[in-house]
Amino acid sequence: MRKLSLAVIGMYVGVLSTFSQTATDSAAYKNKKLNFDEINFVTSYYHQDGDHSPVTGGVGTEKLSDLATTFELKLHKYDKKNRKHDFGFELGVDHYTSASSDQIDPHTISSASHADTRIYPSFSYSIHNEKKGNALSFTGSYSTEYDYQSIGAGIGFTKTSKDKNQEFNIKLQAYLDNLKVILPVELRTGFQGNDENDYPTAGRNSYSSSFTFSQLVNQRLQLSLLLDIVYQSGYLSTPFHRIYFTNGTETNEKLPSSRFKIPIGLRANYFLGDKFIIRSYYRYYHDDWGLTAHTVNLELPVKITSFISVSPFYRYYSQNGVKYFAPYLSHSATEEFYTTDDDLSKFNSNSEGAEIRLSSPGGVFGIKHLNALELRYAHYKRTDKLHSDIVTLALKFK
Amino acid sequence: MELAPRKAEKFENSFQVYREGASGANGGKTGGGCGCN
Repeated sequence: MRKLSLAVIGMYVGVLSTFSQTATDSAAYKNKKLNFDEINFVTSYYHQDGDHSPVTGGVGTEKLSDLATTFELKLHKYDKKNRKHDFGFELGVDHYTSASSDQIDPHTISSASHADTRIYPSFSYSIHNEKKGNALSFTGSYSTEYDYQSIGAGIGFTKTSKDKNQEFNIKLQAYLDNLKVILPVELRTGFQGNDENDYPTAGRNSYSSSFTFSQLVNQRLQLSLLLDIVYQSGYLSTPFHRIYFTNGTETNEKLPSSRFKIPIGLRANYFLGDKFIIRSYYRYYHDDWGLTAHTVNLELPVKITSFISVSPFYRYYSQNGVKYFAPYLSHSATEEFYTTDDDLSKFNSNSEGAEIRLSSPGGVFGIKHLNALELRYAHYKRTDKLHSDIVTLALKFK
Repeated sequence: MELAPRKAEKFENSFQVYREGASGANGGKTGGGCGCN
C-alpha cells in the first residue's frame, strides 16, 4: 500500500474544502453538548414532455411538472469516550401535475393522480469512533402520497484505514411499500373508484446491499468502486398503464413479481492543479428482466475565485430495454408479461448543464449564516423524443 | 474521504431513476420508496 504523508492528506482535504465537500472534523477539543452543524434547503422545478405515455398504451402526452423541496437539519455531539454522534432530520415535499395520469379516468376532473403531493420525512443517526476508524449508521424513512406509502430502514458500517487512504462501507436497506391498485376506468369491475378506500392494495418490497470501497491513490487521484445488489418483490407493475393487444382487446401492464438488479459503478476524481477537478463516473447495470445499461458522467468544476466555482457537466446513458417491452398496439394477448412503458424501452439519453456555487465563511451576499449557494440547471433528451429540464437551488446555512 | 454528490444534484438523480430502467451504484436510491410516476 502506498503511504501518503499527513501533509499530502492535509493538502487533499484542503482542496476538498475549497470545493466544499464533506470533511471530517477531528479537532482536539470535543464539546460534549449537542451542536448545530448545518441546515440544507433544496428546491427544484422539473418539467418534461414526450408522446409515448404508457397510461394511454404507449401513445399520448407525457407532460409532467414537479416542484420538490427538502429541508434538512444536521446536529452532532461527542460522548465521554470521544465518539461522535451525528443526527440528521429531513422533510421533503413534492407536488406534481401529470397530463397522462389524468387519463386514468378521463371522465373525472380529479382522477387518481393527475396531481398529487408526496411527503417524505426521514432521519439518520451515526456513531463514529475516530480512534478506531469505525462508524455505524442507521436510517429510517417514510413516504406517503395518494396511491403509495413506503416505510424504509437501513443500517451501515464504515471502516477507515489507519492512514485514512482507504475506506470501506457496507449498507443494508429495505423499503416496504404499499400501493393502491388503481386500474384504468374502463377495466374496473364492481364498485371501485368512488372513494380512496375502494381500491384494492398490493405490496412491493425492495432490499438492497450496497458496498463502497474508496482509495486515495495519490495527492491528485481518488477512486471509488460501488456495488449494489438489489432484490425487489411483489406488485412491480404500474396498475394504470394500459396495454392494447394486436387482437383489439385491452388490459393493464403486467410485469414479473420479482426483479434482481446488479449495478456496478466506478468513480474517479482527479485534481488538476488547484483550480480544476475532473469528476468522472461510469456505471454498468444488469437485471433479470433483460435490461443492460451503461452510464458515463463527466463534470469539470472550475474554481473562478476562492468563493465561486462553476461546474459544466455531461452525462450519456444507454439501455437496451427489458424483454417485456413493446410499443403501442404491438403486444400479443398470448404473452405472459407486457409493458408499453418507454422508460423500460431501448433508448439513449444525453444530459448537459452547469452549476454555479458560491460559498463564503462570512456569508454569501452578506447573509451571515448562508454558507453556500448552489444553482444548477440540466437539460435531458432521450432518443424516443422525451425531453426535460430541471433547475435546482440549494442553500446551506451554518 | 468520498467526494459526495452535491445537494443540488439530488432531484436530478431522482428523475433519472424515474425515467430510466437502471438505478443504483451511485450512493443514491436503487428502488422502492416512491410511486415513481
